[in-house]
Amino acid sequence: MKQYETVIVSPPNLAEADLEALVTGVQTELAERFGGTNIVVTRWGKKTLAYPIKKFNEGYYVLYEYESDSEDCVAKVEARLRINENVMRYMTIRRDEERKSEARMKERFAKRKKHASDEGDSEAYGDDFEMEE
Amino acid sequence: MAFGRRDSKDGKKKSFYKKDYLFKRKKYCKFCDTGVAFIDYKDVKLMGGYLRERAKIVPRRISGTCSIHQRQLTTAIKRARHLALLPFTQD
Repeated sequence: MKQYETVIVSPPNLAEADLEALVTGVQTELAERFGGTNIVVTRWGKKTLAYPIKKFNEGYYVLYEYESDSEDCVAKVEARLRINENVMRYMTIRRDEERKSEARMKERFAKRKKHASDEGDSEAYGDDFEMEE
Repeated sequence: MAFGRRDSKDGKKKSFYKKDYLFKRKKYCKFCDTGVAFIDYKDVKLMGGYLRERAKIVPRRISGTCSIHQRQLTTAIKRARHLALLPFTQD
């Protein structure tokens, strides 16, 4: 089971109904046609873009978090998003590997903290990064 | 004849620049210090502090970020740029 995150950016001037159709449409397609499970949809709403896309200065952001077993789930979703005129930008990333590394880092921090408190050494953090310019 | 460079009494060479004589503060990784386990591309506020005014990524040599976090930061910034959360350039 792999975990994915997809963000889509749609134009700010979409009608309420069109936007709703887009957001729920992607969700149902994910669930029913492409084998996505545990779908969580988060709407970030209208945000100012850091640079104009298609002459728009704003965009409507939606985040989909989901899991999938099938190999070509992401490819299929992206193929659908590519031909959708109401999607200006999309990006899919895989999250499971990153969650693993996040856990590893947390473990390391915990160990270091423990070490610091054992030694009573307040400067335990700084020792690893001796760098001068 | 060396100009501008003077050896100190104990024979060690001293730097040409005056500021190098002064006390230097040791750089440290701020992410390690605060315990950030993963830098997410959605966290625009956090990443924004590591962009220069032209929106270039601040190098490790300046910010003191450790290699693990610098790598995370770079991917996060690049992802955010694709989604127009952060700029590629700024004029």
